[in-house]
Amino acid sequence: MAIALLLLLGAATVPPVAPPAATWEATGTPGAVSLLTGHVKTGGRIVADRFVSAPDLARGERLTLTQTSAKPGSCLWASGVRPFTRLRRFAADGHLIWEWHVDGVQQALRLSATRFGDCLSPDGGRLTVGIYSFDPDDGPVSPMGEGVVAVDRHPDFVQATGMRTHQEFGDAHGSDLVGWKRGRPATLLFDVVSDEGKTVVHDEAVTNGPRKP
Amino acid sequence: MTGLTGAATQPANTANATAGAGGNPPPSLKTLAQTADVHTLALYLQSHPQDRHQLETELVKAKRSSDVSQLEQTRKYELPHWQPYHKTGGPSYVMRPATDTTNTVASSGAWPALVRSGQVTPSEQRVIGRMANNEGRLDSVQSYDSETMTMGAMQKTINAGGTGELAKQVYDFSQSNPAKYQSLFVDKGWTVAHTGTGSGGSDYTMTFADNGQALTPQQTRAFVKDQASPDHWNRALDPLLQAGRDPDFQAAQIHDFKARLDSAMAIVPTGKSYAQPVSAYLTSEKGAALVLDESVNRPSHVAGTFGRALDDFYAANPKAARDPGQWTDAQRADYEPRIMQAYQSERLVSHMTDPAGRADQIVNQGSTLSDAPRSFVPTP
Repeated sequence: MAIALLLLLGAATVPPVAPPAATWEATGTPGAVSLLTGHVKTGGRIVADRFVSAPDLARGERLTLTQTSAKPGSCLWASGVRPFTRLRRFAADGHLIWEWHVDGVQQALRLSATRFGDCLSPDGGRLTVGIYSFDPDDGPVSPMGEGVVAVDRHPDFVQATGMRTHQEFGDAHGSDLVGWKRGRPATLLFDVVSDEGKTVVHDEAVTNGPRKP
Repeated sequence: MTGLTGAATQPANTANATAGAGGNPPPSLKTLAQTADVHTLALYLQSHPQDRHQLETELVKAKRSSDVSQLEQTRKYELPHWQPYHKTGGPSYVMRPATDTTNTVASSGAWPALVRSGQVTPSEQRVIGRMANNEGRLDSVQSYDSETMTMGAMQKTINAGGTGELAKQVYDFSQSNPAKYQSLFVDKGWTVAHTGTGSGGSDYTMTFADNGQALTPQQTRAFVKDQASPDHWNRALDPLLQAGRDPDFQAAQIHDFKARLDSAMAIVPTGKSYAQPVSAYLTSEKGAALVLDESVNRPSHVAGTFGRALDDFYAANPKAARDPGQWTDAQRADYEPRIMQAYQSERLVSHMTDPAGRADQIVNQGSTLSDAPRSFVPTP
């Protein structure tokens, strides 16, 4: 009876988030990471590189990776690595499936940690990222928001609109990532938080299809 | 070559220099380079980016070499650009580099009057000014994401329905300073109305009027996010850029920061039965700035993060009194740094954006904030 009650309480407080779908590995020293590799459990790798060289970001990376108690290899740990401008997907046999450059629009990405689980969806097809703008001339790098990248067939952002709030995840205004729901289709659990943090609405977004133009 | 349509930002005395009055053909680049001011030239290039190098050459020929770099700066920072975002995007002003402190919260000219009048203490000024370096500038304006508009240091927004915290902020400003509201917003096309029954962001609606014709919230959004019409961006966004540079509206933004600081310090931590607010445990300026920082970045997380930090602290210091009101000065001097350290550690796993970098900016990097207990002095 007591065990059943504990399980019930646990179910009430922890959302049904999928376990990690990748293990993340950083190459290089904290503050000078040169490669971030996600070893995907469904096969192959996701590789991020061409990191933004802004000194404040490098310093933040060094501090975060050396001080955090997040489990090495987790998305939360890997989200401390500074933004990058190239993302590549390799198949299990090692061949390059695609590569995506975002520096052409003066943007950079970094992994966006979820509160529970991974930043990669359980089917390996969706990745939560932070989106940054940067100016190659004089270096200001500023966060723009968050997004979901399709990584299963071709790289691009996909739509992630909350089923209850109809707010689009990633607008950077009060959306707080919880994690990926178990099973298919790739469904992102997130909270919509009021400006003062007083109101929290739990929501989820199915990220199955490409965003409508 | 067509004439400029960015009338809202085009100086009246130079309008004819680019538009060609009375249907006359527009002037040549040579004439422009000889007669138009830098802002007008920047507006021209916004519509005719392909003419940039030729115009710069004409400027040099016209012995205005020094205006070439000024033109570049104006184009870059004084006019909105189309910013791709996800599949779409929208207009946005480019953020200035960190070394340029123009229109940062810390450098605002609104502070002296606020401090003199007792609305903010010097200690609060230091805390807010330092923490705000982690956020946008007072004149930040963008419309690239799913919101209709985002503005200011706290990045307040209006959504597709025209409502939101920005609408509430501008409404509050209209009540406290109607003359400035008229000149900064209404005269430039922006109005706000109390359309709900409450006093939250969703109870206020902010819309734009183009050449006197009022637009609905949906029309306002479509107007601003029209990729093919840079003149729309100028007309709608420039008033907000200028409002963000006005000392009175800057003061309004600082008031909101102070309100956030007050509410963050009043949060009661969750965890093992804590009854006192955060302000009872952390009384230093650095502590207050860290709490404000998390509140601005992740408003719903502070209670949990700080509660876990207290759990860590009490686990390591089981003899410490649960009620911080019972701490002696010597105990507080010992405990507060430990709580600060625990709090910073918990922030690292709190899913904030760049928690270590943000904290570093507050407590290190030449910070003038004090870490001495009771150094943070809020308004009575």
